[in-house]
Amino acid sequence: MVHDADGFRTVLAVRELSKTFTGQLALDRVALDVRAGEVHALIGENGSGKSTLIKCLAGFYEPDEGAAVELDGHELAMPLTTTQSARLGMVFVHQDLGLVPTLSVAENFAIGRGYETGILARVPWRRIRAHARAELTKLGCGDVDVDLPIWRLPIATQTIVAIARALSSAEEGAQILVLDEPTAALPDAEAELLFAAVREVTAQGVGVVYVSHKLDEIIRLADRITVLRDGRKIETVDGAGLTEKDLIRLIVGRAVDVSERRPREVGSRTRVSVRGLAANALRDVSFDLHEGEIVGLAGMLGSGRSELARILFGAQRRRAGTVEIDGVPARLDSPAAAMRRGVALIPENRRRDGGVLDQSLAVNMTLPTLRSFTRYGRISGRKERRRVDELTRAYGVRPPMTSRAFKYFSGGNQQKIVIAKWMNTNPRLVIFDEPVQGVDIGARAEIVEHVRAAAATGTAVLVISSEIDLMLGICDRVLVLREGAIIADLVNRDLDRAAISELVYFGHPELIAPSDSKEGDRS
Amino acid sequence: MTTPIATVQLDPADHARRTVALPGGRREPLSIFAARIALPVILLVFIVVFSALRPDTFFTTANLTTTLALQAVLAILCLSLLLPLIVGELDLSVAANLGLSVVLVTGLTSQNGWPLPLAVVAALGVSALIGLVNGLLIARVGVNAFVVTIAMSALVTGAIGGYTQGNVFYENIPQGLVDLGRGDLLGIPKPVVYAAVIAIALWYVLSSTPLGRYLYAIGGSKDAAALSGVPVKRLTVLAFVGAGLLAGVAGVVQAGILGSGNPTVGPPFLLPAYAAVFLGATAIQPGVFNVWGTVIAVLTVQVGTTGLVQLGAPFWIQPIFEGAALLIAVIVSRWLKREE
Repeated sequence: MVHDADGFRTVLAVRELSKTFTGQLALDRVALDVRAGEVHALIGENGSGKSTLIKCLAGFYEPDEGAAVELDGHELAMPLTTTQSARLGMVFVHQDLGLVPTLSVAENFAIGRGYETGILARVPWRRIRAHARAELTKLGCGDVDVDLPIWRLPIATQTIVAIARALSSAEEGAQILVLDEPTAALPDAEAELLFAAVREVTAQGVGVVYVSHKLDEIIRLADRITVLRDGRKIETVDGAGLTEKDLIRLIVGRAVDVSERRPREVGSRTRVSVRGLAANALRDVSFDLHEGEIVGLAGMLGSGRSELARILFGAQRRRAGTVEIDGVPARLDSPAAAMRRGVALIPENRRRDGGVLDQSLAVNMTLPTLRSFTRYGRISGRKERRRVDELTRAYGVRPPMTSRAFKYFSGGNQQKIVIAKWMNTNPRLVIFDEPVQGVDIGARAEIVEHVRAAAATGTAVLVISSEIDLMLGICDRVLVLREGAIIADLVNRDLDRAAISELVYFGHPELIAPSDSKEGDRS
Repeated sequence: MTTPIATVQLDPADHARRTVALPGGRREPLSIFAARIALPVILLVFIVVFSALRPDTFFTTANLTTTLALQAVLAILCLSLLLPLIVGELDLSVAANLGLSVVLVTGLTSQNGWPLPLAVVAALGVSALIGLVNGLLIARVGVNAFVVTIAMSALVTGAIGGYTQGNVFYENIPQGLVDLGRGDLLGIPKPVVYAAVIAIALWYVLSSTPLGRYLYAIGGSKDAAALSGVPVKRLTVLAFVGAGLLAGVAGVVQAGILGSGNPTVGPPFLLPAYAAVFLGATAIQPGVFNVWGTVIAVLTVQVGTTGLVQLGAPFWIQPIFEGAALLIAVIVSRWLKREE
């Protein structure tokens, strides 16, 4: 038995956990203590190291030398493996749940454990069903029909099934349950069901590690909270009495480096005018973008920001609303149509959407503009090569090997290729969706410069990012999207992180004056 | 495409890795270069060895022209398959489509008294239409290509049976049709000329026009292509229409060669065509479905089996040879990929 200073029994003790990815420190000597029967929340911004920490614990990543993990007083062998952890009582439920949607609840329990078989390799279904029912009863969900296929169940119940299955997979009783973003796909109305189940789990003395970016949940559920920032543990605090504002302060921490901000000339001409846009997640979105203006679009995952980008690029249909580009209505019913009207999208998922992986830098770079390299319908190799060489140099792609396959470039260089490819279309509107996500520090600064350079050509630039720092550093204005609506339109003159974070996380538009007040200095 | 004349040397930057200089100043790893030229080299070795062993029969004009002519129809069918495969889809209906074209062009002229040009246009039109239906179901409705084209193949086979009532059309075949398939132009058998013209045209489109780039981009990633402004659905439909049309051309040529309309002529082409296209994807541009790799694959299989038969191998050597060549080729190219 290990007890901490306050006399609580510690079931999971993590010490000196570091993880380096190709020279970049993602986790820096993180320590974590989880007590029996507590909900221990793990919070931090994207890239703060939460998911790296979970993945190290789950054995997906091998931590750096020197890390130590103790489970109920037993030192675990490094690197951790899921089977070792499960044997000693640490189990995981990841965001995708790992259930087979077409199989029944009982069958999902059985595949998790490996089928035990009776005479003639017969699967003892009655025993498996009884087992599933018993495990669900422990979480207060004994009334779930174990013969229903998973997909027929509400998502909360699916999550509970995954939790029950994970707990039952610990042969000698579970000690620690790790829940990684369990409510990410959960409708708010169903969350209560899940919380009740989590409380049943802790009532049995199991320590729960709870990763979530939904602060209201954490306030309600967490006994203690550990905050990560830039791969470091900032502190562990008691959950009691904390407000969401306190949490945001803990998450955000440092002040913005204002030196990155630069006054810029913004034209007065309206380039893009969006009115009353509605689609699945969006309702009545209206805004204007001006010549040479960089506008940030802030919002949580699921706020509708990527959907807005896809609609403006014609990759998704809108239900209502109009878009005007340079004063002319644009139909935008396909990416090709949007391209013809001068819209360019640098997509969030580079590897899936940004480029054709197996094809060369050159082929990728000229794909949207091929017709400008043709003579009598034939691609002029020389013309194309010359332009590709110019762009590769101008955008600093390294190594500058134009016949190298797209997939062999690093994330940052792939991003430069995609930016070059789109800037070559001379766009009137460029949308950057998470432009620096997964990009190393060096390339990050270059990409930020490319965003600025794009605006300097008179193009309207829309930047979608979860990184508030980035927005504050480069944007002239920030739009805050929450639950499908724009709740704030802020001039970036004296904005700070906390103001935007508050709006993004729980939306208080009344706290900040609307930007209409500055209409005067534009016209 | 010309086989690049290359010099092997050690790359100064990486002494462990041999690279090859290609025309135009590019360099590539030796393993890739070896894969690129393996099949053409094997073809050359076959020709030299068989010519040496059977100088009186193998290396004669008569034998060479027959060897080529025999495979012209298969080559055209292989070229038709390239289009759907390049956009990442399968078409299992091309062989049945070829068969329908054979019975239509022979039947409409001999049984229904249509003039030859009209019958040819009708046969090609029906073949293209079959491709169009395939393409629309796959690209617009979103049904799996394997299922759609297998169903289409069955429907077409049924239609052939219905139209021919199981009979072979061999009377009243117009001489013009026979002239299309037999005889030669400047000493080259006509079917070979057709196959060569189609190959050159297709190679031009695929390698030198935006359309070709778009088709390969779709095959590489539908999402990335669509988000680059490529009209993915429209071009996928076009690929199937092209496949249908070329299968129809192969049918008309086959009808001319045979001088009759046999309802069973199509289906046996399917597997050899796939074997050749996949074998071809290991050569010239390894890992990519390409025109000259396909043509060389068709020739290699034919030269190899003809030579072996002349050396006394039994008639069933052909499928054995085809299967073995395909397996060896894909295993070797897999192995070379790992070296990369």
